[in-house]
Amino acid sequence: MGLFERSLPDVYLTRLADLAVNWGRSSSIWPMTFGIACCAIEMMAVGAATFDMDRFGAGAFRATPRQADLMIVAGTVNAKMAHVVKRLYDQMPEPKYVMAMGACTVGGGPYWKHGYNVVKGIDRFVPVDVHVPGCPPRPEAIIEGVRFLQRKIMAKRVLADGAPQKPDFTGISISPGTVGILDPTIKVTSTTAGPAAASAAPLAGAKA
Amino acid sequence: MTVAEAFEQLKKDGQAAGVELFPGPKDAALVVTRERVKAVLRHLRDARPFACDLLVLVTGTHMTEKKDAKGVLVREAGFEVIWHLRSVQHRSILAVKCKLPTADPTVDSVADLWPAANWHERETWDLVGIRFTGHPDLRRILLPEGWEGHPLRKDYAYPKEFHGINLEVDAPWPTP
Amino acid sequence: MADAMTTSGAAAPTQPAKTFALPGDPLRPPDTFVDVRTQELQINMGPQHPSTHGVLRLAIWVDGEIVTRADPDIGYLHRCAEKIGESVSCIQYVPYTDRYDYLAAMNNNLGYCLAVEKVAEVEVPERAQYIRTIAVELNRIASHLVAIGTYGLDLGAFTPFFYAFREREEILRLLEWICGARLTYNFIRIGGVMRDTPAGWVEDIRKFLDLFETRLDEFNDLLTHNHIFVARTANVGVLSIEEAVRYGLTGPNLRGSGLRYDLRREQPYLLYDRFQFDIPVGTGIKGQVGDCWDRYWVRLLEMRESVRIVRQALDQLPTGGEIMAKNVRHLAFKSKAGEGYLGIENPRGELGYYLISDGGANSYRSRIRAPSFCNLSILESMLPGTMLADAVAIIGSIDIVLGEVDR
Repeated sequence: MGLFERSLPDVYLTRLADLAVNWGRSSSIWPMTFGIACCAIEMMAVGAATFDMDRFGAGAFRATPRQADLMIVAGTVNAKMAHVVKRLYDQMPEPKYVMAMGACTVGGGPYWKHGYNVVKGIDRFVPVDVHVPGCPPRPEAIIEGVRFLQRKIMAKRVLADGAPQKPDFTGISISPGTVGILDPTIKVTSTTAGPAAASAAPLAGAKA
Repeated sequence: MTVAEAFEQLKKDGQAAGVELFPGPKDAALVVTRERVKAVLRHLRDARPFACDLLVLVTGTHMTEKKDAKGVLVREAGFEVIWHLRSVQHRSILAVKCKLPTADPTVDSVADLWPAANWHERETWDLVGIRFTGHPDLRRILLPEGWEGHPLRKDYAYPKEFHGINLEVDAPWPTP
Repeated sequence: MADAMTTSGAAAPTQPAKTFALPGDPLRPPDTFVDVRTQELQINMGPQHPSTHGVLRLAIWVDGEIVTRADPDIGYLHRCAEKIGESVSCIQYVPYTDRYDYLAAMNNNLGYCLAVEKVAEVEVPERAQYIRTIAVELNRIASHLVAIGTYGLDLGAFTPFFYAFREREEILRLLEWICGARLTYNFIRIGGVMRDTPAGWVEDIRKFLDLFETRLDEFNDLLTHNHIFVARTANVGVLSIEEAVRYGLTGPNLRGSGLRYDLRREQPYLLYDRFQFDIPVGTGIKGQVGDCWDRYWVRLLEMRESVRIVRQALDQLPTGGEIMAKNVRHLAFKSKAGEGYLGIENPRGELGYYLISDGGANSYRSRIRAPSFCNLSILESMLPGTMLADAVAIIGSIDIVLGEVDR
């Protein structure tokens, strides 16, 4: 938040303000229409009727980086394209997030060995918030990645200064490890803590 | 029209100088010398029995020498360019082949006969490194300008980086 | 001030202010006309542009609103297809072919497998050929749906996109059912198909086809006779047969110009000689023959023909039987020495694979004839002389997939 960026004391009031700002940011993530390869088709499918990413506040695809919060890098990035991706990232206003969608952007994918031209993972030149594996990932996985990102945004410090918070990934439906976050200090807690597991537990008890 | 029939027709038309029939193991082809190839291709396009108006594909191949177990040469070193031509009217497909030496892979461009050849020849120059003389605009098409080497040559070494972008296979993972 | 509207900014302030007058304005004498000099302006479209269907970069030079020169710059998605083709074995290469034309991955599988089977002399069982036909034609419908949906999107019609993707999800469900993937199938293998039809699959396809035929008519209301759509596509980007053939165009783009040329009919591969189907061509209903509307219309009609082919294939599908050729040992597959070219009719045109094999597990050379690559090259000759706003309509009507252009 510009001038006040993490300058206020970490008290209840500023934390409350942070919560409000983060809630607003995480519920209106505007992705950039930026399809590169096959994954772009699944990205379009996410925006279309059946999956409808608008339900999660992330369906307003923008054609220009200057209006976007999230860059979904959907497809193989090669040496010719990498400079373009970097420039687009630089053109986005803060706060900005990057989702590496698909195996190619995560680590080169099938072009890892013989792709003389392919960049083996976009985290070699832009910081990545969420990695969504798959070739291409299913639309559900993209929604999953957006939900991971929302939890990450909720843990950000905006006004209040203080130690960084750890995001809370409980209750996200996919098993830990499927959507990877490359920060080993962040632990994806097991889904057993989520409401689905909680409702399943008494059933198991009744059976026993 | 099969390739063998086309060869007979070429003989009838008096255009068979420098043309041989490659029976293939699978697809047959007309093998033409470098000096004659453009004239033959022009004839195939213009002469009524052929009427090859659709250029399907231009392929360049880098050939390395290969000997079988007995030491008999089964593949000569050099370059090969193959033009696949279709005739919309006669529903036929023909293959014309030209062998080039390793030291000087140069052949006449046919971009003025078929505009479709323009991009195919640029691609062949880009990836295989065969020069097409008379091409209007022979520059790289797929790889960026400033790229070194021609990837489809058999002795091509993969680059480690390009303009500051790391292309190594085993680069260290970024530390969080 | 009126001065600000003129382009001659260097006028001395002592001179009387000139106002901008339209040519032929009767109220002003001719000498007050301002010389509005135009200069050539270069516009960069892409590689990040919502209407270039991926990462095509188009350098366009315009004089006012008229395009004077266009130079497509491709290669932003070059993924080393042909190098990989000679670095991995034929069996391993099949999944890579999915990723070139990712909208019609099944067709790409088929093209490569047929080429390998031609060189390696593999006989494919009949049942496998029927399953291939069904899968390929369903995939063709899905591909054309994306082409039509995104074409509407390019021209500012958002609704057809949602309708197209609704039907497409149904097809993807059917294809996912048989092979487990939504987009990159790897279903057609060298020598046959991956697995037999699951129980209930055939019946579900029939149900879908019945529903789909009625839903195809919705596109007529949404796009075909939509006044805005017709105004933006009819008489725009007119392409003659001669020009299309000279540039090596194939598929719906060539047929949109009026030439009845379809490899399924010209050189029947698979079992296409057993099916009754028409080859739709552009006839210039809304404008001249070979305009953007005709190319759109050919795609719409082709979906109907695909439905017909799938119906017949389902009727003729033999019960029981092998789905994989006997002499293909996948772990130690070695092709015979030889070279061969085989072209098939992809949704975008002639997809060909030219393979040179020296008898090893890998092909010595695997060259891909990508239809979009050849189709795209016509932009250089088609765009000059058109309005800048029509450029998007023309690019969309060519229906390119950049994964295939760059390979």
